[in-house]
Amino acid sequence: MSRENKMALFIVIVGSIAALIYSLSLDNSSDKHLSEVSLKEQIILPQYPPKSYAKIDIVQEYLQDLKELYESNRTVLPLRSDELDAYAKIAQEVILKDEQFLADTRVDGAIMHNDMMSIRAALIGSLSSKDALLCDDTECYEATKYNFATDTTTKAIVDVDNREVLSVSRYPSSKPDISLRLKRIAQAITLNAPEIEREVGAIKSKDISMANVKGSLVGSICEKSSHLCVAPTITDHHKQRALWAIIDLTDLKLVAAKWAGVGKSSTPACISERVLQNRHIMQEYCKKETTLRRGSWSLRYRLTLSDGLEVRDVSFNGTSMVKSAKIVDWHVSYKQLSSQLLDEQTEAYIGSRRVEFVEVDDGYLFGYNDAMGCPMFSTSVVLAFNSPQVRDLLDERGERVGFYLVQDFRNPKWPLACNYRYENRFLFYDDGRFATVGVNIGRGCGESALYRPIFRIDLASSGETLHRLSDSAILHTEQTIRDLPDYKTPYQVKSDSTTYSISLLRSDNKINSTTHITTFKESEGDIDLLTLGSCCDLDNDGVEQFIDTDEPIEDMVIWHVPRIKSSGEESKEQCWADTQLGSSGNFEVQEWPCSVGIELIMVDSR
Amino acid sequence: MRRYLPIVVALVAVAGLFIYVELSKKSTSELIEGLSRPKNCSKPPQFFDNPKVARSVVIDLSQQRFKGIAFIHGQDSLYSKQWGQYGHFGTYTLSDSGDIYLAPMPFISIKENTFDLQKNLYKLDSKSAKLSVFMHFDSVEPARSNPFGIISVLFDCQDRSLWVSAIDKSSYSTQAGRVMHVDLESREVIDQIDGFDAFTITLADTDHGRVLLAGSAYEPSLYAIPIDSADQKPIKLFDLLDSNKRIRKIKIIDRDKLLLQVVDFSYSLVAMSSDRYREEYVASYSGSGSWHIGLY
Repeated sequence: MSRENKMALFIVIVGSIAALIYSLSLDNSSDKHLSEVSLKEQIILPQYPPKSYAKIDIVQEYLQDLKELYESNRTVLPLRSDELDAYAKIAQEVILKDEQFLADTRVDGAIMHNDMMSIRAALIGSLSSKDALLCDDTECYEATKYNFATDTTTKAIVDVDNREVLSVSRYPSSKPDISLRLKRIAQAITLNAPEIEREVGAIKSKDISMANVKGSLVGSICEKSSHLCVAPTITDHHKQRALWAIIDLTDLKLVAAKWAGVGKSSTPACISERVLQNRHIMQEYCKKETTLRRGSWSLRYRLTLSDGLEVRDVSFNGTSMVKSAKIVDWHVSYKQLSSQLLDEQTEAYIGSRRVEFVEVDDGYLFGYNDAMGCPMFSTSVVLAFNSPQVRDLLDERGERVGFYLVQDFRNPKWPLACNYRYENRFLFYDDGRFATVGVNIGRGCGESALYRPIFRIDLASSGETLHRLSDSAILHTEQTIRDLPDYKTPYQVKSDSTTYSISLLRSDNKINSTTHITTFKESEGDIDLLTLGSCCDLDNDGVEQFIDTDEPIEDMVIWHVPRIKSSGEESKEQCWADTQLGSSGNFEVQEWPCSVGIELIMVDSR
Repeated sequence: MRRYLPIVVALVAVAGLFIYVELSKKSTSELIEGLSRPKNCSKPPQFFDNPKVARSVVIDLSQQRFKGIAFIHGQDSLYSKQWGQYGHFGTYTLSDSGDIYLAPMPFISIKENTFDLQKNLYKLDSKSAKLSVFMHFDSVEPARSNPFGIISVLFDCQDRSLWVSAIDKSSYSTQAGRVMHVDLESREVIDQIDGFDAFTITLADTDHGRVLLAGSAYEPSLYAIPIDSADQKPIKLFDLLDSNKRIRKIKIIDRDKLLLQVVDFSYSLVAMSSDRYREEYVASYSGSGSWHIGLY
């Protein structure tokens, strides 16, 4: 073959391949799957409380300035001189004395968090025709402030020559371009976040760009849509990757971050707190198990489709304790005192949720069953928020006595009414105690609700019997024990190899629960359970369907169903959450968590 | 000079190939030129004997006060217990004879029959006001990892057929939904588009034929399916900026202008169905594949 023919053949082959790649790239833009995107990502979620960011110098200085501002009874944090030219300094002086501009900075006398964001020469496009006329011969500046508490931007046009405010406009649910100071704070949080440093080491690069927060069409990139959030981006040109971080400037914390390629699919506009969280949780905790070894403890854990966080194969000092522990449901019921005749046409809904109801003597109970689990592709309604976390377990004196594994589950709009938040906690003490705890942080639909979490503990030993300490009864068949006697430690479980004491844990010190014991069957909760029982029939936890009182227990599963009441009544709050204006000048969530649980204490191992 | 002819021919062939690919791309954007609302043939149910009332009745699927379907007229509501027996509904379509076809939806809790209810398409009869299962789809298989089944339904005035979408079997890594074309008389699936999760569907006329506009359940995106063409592959028109959102309702409000109702959706159970959990956007087509999307 001649040289020219070879070249022609080469051109045809290379050209065809190039055309094919180009054609596929067009197709791909309309046919992208989540998994393809996720392969290139490394998602980092917060692991430390927000106060850890307050230690960063620039954040500390900012918080100190806010504190001094409130102490001096002023309401708007001014811009510092390095952000202002000579005219802007005059404009700031004028605007911070203007009553109309400052009108939305307090509520019932309490100061709300307000920052000046920018003061710039007014552009003709930002002026009304009346202001434009007035500004024709004078120097006009546009001053912008942001109210973090109400998510409102205020703009004012200032005639600097005559030291006069020409107009003030407010834009609720609108976010401005942020100040240089806040931009530096966002960058500092990104560069110094311990989560990021832990994952990727200290970031040397200072090549940071900032996604524009203006144009609030998509709301906030944070889960809390009223928060001011930005997305600083740090590019690592050598490795052709970039770190996209989401920083919440209202709470001054890292919300989420991801390392990704610098390709087109990774623009900051496409990331949000929830999208990153969901992808990370699905890939790391819903699709696979995690093994944890710490101290004398060893276990595996995973997020289920509707039974919350599950720990499996828990062993202490090499002795197997528990095959599986989890909270499969939360039953929620509200009581309505009424002699009204009920039928399905009677209004039976709370918030925006239609509810099931059951008649009782003096009225009726209504409510629903909340399942917790994976945030996507699941039968859950209260969804995993952030990833499971391992934390130190401290006693009353603040001394470390073990560690605990915790998973937060929330309705997206918590703490708004009819949105719920639960935590699943597993406590591992250095002395060998193991506890499963359900934490309820409200808020529910009404001020008084009855919650019934359903705990399932599958013990690792076999041939167990349950010893009731109140009457020394030995139970060795499947059964339900209602209205437990007033004992904190009512049972012992004995097998050939071990003896455990069972303690009931409650934050309200009341004993009110039901225990069911069954023999292990895979279909009875070893794999995910669908919604169990009735929300409101207090004589039916749903576990009863698994009980055959004639069936001997060969491999014991303990079901514990405590009852706990919430209260939203002032000074008696329990299992409750509310939003209040805090000392920071921002609306802060106040929590009154309540908890219930079951603890296993190994008293004998042979 | 002749010795270079093979190279010239090769270059021309490659250039032609690129022009062909580019033209294919152009035809994609032309697909929706002249987007407009097709003629509406839907009629109110005949069980409303007062036509004035029938025209102003609101169909309530919010599941807030009533399970299933209810009709709201001012302060009054019309509801039958029988309309709640098949659980909760997500969407509906009205036929040219006033029959209402309904797609199911799982809501808050999973009960023993929840998955079975997702396998059916339902009909509220225009004359008798009786709610019944219109079609059962054995192929639809809701599961714990995706509790959804039939999710959307649309009456086609042109041939008195139904377009029905299902999103079961899809998983975190695979999209396995179907859009089915159902003959109303025989109750048989006459055509099917596989591998696409349509959360909502609506028909539109264009200069180049009819398209089925579909909001994806899998992505924050709007797609068009050229139903008159041999290749019925869904073509993406645009993405919403908020990647948590999914288009749940599409209304053609003017030529080249759509009203989109969007909700949060992640294939987990729906707890909130009221309007305050929905947002509305207007999407305007400005030609050459370009869309402008703004809050309504």
